[in-house]
Amino acid sequence: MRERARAGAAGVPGARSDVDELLRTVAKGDERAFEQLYDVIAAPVYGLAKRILRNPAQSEEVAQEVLVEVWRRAATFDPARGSAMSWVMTMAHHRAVDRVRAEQSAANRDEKVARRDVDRPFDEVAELVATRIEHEQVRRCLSNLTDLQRESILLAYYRGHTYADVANLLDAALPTVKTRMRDGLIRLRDCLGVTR
Amino acid sequence: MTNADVHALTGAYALGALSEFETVAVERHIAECTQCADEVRELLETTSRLGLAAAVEPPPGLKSRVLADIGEVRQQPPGRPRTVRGSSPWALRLSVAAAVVGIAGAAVFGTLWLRTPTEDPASALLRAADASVIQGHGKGGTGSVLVSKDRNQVMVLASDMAAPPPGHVYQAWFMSPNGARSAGFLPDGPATKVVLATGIGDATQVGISVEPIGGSEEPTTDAVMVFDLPT
Repeated sequence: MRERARAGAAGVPGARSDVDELLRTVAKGDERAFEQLYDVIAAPVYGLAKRILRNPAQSEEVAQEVLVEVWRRAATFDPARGSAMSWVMTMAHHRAVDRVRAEQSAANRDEKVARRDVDRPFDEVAELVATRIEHEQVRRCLSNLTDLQRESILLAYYRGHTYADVANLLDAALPTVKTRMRDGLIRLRDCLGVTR
Repeated sequence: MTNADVHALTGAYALGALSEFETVAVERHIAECTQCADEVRELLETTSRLGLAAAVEPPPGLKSRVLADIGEVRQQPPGRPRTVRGSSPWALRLSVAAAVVGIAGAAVFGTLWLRTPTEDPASALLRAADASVIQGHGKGGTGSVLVSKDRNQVMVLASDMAAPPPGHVYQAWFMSPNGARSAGFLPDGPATKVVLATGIGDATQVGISVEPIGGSEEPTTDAVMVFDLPT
């Protein structure tokens, strides 16, 4: 399984070689390279924002901000700290989650958390449309986790919940959730064959 | 937070599930711990795969808007800390604070710290090794205090407070069993209010009360908000 996972990982859109290379060119101010980079990263950036925010207009706004930020900060990307794709996705995740949390603070927070509680994280796995082999792999690897590991990870990543919120939603102790997030991600990392 | 505590947070960190204050603690830790930095890097690659799996084709208009935008955005040179264009640090801090206060003081202060490009008394306090965040209680609004006994300083941050009655102001206090000392005034206006004060001394609490303009020698009304300082 691990070997298959590695083989699948090679097909990830913009495995580090091409995206890293493109980003380095973009850092020199090459707008045409940015256009190529856009074609690789726009769908993941928009899709992640939409998964977290749900609202298409807001998701588009966040995606636009992130994509422009990629252009602006391209030269600050440090390959020693991870792949270009990971750099982009981390930025997209932060932006979308910032937006969710700002809204939560504006609205009645408790009410919102309670309402979102109805929407169980298991849906998230079903929502991963397995049109691409690597997405199928993510789905399969997620199904290898314990329920608590999987729910903790999905509620945090796709919903933008803090681990304290997650503990609350799952009625689990804080240290337990912290630990399940870490060991769940480690198991996911190994299943996906992520090496760096 | 001990190193073991911080290390246990790498998963939550990679999932973006920490308060910003804890995020700062983890980032500070991984800057000094190669093994932790490696783990965090791998876990971030892993969470990115979750992000990639959510990919959805964006609306067609997005590309032309983004390409038009970048024509007008100057690129940042390598190695500069991130800043936000066109905002003075204080204006930025206040707007960021206004946007996120109420989530948790930790989030507010952490965000401030992350977005503060230069060293000033507030960011120095945020960086203090013993800095901790206390949530306020009371009927007057929501607030947090960041406190460092090492630096002998507190930063009070309050929001959602009603305007004080005409002719009055909000005054902050260091309160101890032996009495109260003024810690300064909360600025006017609807925005989130920030006060940085030095001289914790024997104070066990920080409080906020309504006082006549010009302030009082000691509180003349009940505190609208109280923060219990760590012992």
